[in-house]
Order: sequence, then C-alpha cells, then structure tokens
Amino acid sequence: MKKGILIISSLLVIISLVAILNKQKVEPFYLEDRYYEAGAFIEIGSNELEELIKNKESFAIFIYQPACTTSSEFSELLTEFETVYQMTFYQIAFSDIKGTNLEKYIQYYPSFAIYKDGKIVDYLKADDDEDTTRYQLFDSFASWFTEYVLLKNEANYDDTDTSSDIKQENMLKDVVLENVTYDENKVNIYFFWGNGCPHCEEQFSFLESIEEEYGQYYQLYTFETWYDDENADLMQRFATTMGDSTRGVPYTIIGNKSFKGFSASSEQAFLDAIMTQYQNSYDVYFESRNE
Amino acid sequence: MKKKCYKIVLVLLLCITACACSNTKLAELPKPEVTDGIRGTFGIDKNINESTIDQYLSRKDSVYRDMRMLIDPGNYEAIGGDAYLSGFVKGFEVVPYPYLVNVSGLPDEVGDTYTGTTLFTEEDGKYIANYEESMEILEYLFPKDKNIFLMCGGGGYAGMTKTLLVALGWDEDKIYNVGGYWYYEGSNNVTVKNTSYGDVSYDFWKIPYHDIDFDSLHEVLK
Repeated sequence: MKKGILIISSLLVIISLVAILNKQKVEPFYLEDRYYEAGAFIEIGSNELEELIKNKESFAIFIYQPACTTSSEFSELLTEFETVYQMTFYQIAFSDIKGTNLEKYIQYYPSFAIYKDGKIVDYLKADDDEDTTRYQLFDSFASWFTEYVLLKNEANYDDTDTSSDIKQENMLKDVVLENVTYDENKVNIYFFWGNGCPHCEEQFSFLESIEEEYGQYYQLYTFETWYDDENADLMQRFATTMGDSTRGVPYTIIGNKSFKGFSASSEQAFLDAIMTQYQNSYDVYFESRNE
Repeated sequence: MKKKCYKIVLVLLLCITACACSNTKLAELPKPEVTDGIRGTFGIDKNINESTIDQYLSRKDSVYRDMRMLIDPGNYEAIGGDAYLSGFVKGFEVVPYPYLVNVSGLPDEVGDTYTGTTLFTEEDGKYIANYEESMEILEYLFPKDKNIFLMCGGGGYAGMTKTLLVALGWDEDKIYNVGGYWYYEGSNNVTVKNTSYGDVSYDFWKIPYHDIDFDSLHEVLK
C-alpha cells in the first residue's frame, strides 16, 4: 500500500515537472537564414509543411483561406511586416491543413504559427481576446512575434548608443512644441498613443502606478495620434530621428531609448530607462533643435 | 365501466393534444451575441455558430442563407486554395454576397472577386440601390419577419450581409452570423466536390441556389 502511494506520488511529481518545463518561455531564436530576405509569402501545401517539420526547420507560417475577407486585413499587416523587416513567411490554406501537424492546433483562420526546430512554439488564436490586437495592430503583432523570433539586424543593434554616435535624419529641427521643457534632473518621456488602443491604456495605467515613486525623475508628454493628424506626423518625425520605422502605437521615447508597443514585460525596461537617464539626459527634441 | 372508458379516452385525447402542441412550439433563440477574439469582430455568434447550428436547422420561423459564390473569380493560380463552393450545410440556400454589394479589400495577388453589377453600391457606409427591384429582392431572400441565419466560408461575407441588412432597416436581433463552412463538422454536411470520376468536378446541382438575373431588372435612373 505504502509502496503504491510512493509510486503514484513520484509519477505525479514527474508529470508536474514535465508540464512546468513545457511551459517555460522559449528564448528568442533565429529562423533559417533564407527567411530573412526580401519579404514575400511562399504558398505551400500539406506535403511541403510536413517536409519542413521533418527537417526540423525554424519558420513562420500564415494560415488563411483564399479570397476570404476574414483573412485579408491580417494578410496586409503581415505583408507590411515582411516589407519593413525584410522577412519571408509561408502561407497555407486552412482547407489544406487537414491531417497535418497544424490541424492539432489551428481551429480557426486566420492564424499565424511560429515553428522552432520543427516544433510549434506559439500561434495566434482567432477566438482568443488576448490575440485580437495582434491581428489588427502592427506593433502588437511585432511585439508578440519578436518575443520568439530575432530580427536579423538585432545582433548588431546596440541600444546603448547615444544620438552622437548614430546619425539619423533630423526631422525635428523645425518643430516647435509648446509647453515642453528640459530639466537637467528629469528625463522627458514622449508617449505617442491612440484613443481606443488597448496597449496604450495599459501603458497609461502603468505610468499612473509609478508616478508616486518615480514622478520626480521624469516629465511626461503625451500625444494622441489616431484622431490628430499633426500628432501622427510628429510621431513619425520623432521615430525617424530616433532611427525607428514605427507604424503604430504605443510608441515611447525615454532619453535615448525608444519602445515600440507595451506589455508587462516592458515595465522593467521603462523603469531602467528612467533611472539611468534622469540626470543630464539626452533629449531627441532639444538636441535636434540645437543642431 | 362506461365512465371508466370515457375517462381513458379523454386522457388519451388530452395527451395527444399536448404532444401536438409541444411539437409545434419552437424553442426560443438566444439573442445574437458575438463570440471572443477576432472572430467576434467579424460578428460570428457566440451561441449559434458552426459547432451548434445543427440544433437550430429546419425551423419554420427562420431562413438559412450561405453567402458564397459557386465559383469565386479570384486568381487562385496566384495563391492556391479552392475557389469553389465545395460543400455546404443542408438547409442553407446560397445567395452570393458579391451580387448584393460591391466587394473590396482582397489581397492584391488575388485580384478582384466578382466585379459585375450588384443590387446595391456601398459608399461611406450607405447602400444605394442600383435597381428598382433591389429592395424587393432583398426582402424576398431575407424576410424581415423571420430569423435569418447567415453562413459563408469563414464568417466574413456573412458578417457583411448582416451589416447590409441592418443598415437597410432589418432587426439586428433576428440575424445570426453562424460563421464559416470550413469549420463545420456536424451531421448535415453536403459535399459538392466530386472526385469519383478520376478528375475533380463539382455537383452544383445539389445546391439550392438563388440566381439574380440582372438583365431582367430595371436600373434606377440617376
């Protein structure tokens, strides 16, 4: 009897450990080299998909249905992503995934799956509220995608570089922002947001939560961009001057650092940026106007 | 003895009447409610969708419409996939949405879907009738006094049909976006794609189909 209980307990511990290991976050990885070239979808069928899995490749695939309006908007977002980041994704018709490895996971289209070494690491679910913005907003999708996949030039990008080392097009030279000041004991936060953007709301909540403890270290300037064309143009000017090619909100600049999107995993990075830069900080707006 | 017989007959008559009444009374439908995720943004219903529609078929107070084309004219050689209506749910009758309103927004490599004449033209959210008969046809195919169950491939055309109908005065609480045929795994599937002759053909004769002959209609003078 005691032996039986011991065996069952051991099995339960082993099962729990396996479950925990399986849920551990995947470290960001590179796809195969050939997927970092000029962006375009490669149409495949079930046989090609099975071959990629058999060969233990790392790739990303869009699951859609031809001429279906439910796929078309997400298709446009992915096309833009491929163009901006020079990547190549596969695409497969939902009607072709029957009997494949994908069928176990993908219940509805559109969807998007990321494979590492032939195994699926994550995918978007069309019936999950958490994934809705990832289908609709460029930065939301980019934020999710780059949790898993390294972009090709990330290894060469040093985000501690200051503006004196990076020559970017100065599009702020002639911009005049009233009520924006520079304080040598505070870093300016330029926060571009959209009215109705859920991640922007999350960021507002976060900023509100840190104000009491950290408010003495920063000055916050916010710009709504979805209903204000001037602010939308301003965001592009700030982003270009920072060397970014952002398409959406939230987009935030803290000193010499910029952030595309926002999630719980961004919070510490925001705090680090504030605390490392609040004294005599670099400011993209004031530096540009002084050139 | 006689009294006993009468009582038995009376009870039997009451039972038969009760059964007849219960058979004709239809269960009340849940109010339309969109489902979660991006499927909800297409208007697909949370309660009456691909996985539950079998429970709601053959209702006398309802009509069932599949909004796909028999053959979509998009350039499928460019992107793969099946342009044909290769199956449908029994009870649904096909009314191609692209015949009702102009469609846009498909991926560039597909090109355009049907670009011929339509009953209505959509401009800035407003639907303008192109033919004198446009509203009459719509009211005939989508009776306002019935519940309307809409379906297509993935829920897109069905959602757009609901938007059209509601904009033109239909009761939104009587219209259900059931979602997409591609997800249907119920017991009322009718297969149209036929491979039994060694090639691929389509048994379109199985499909209850509402054609709209635009040549016979009268254009609205503008």
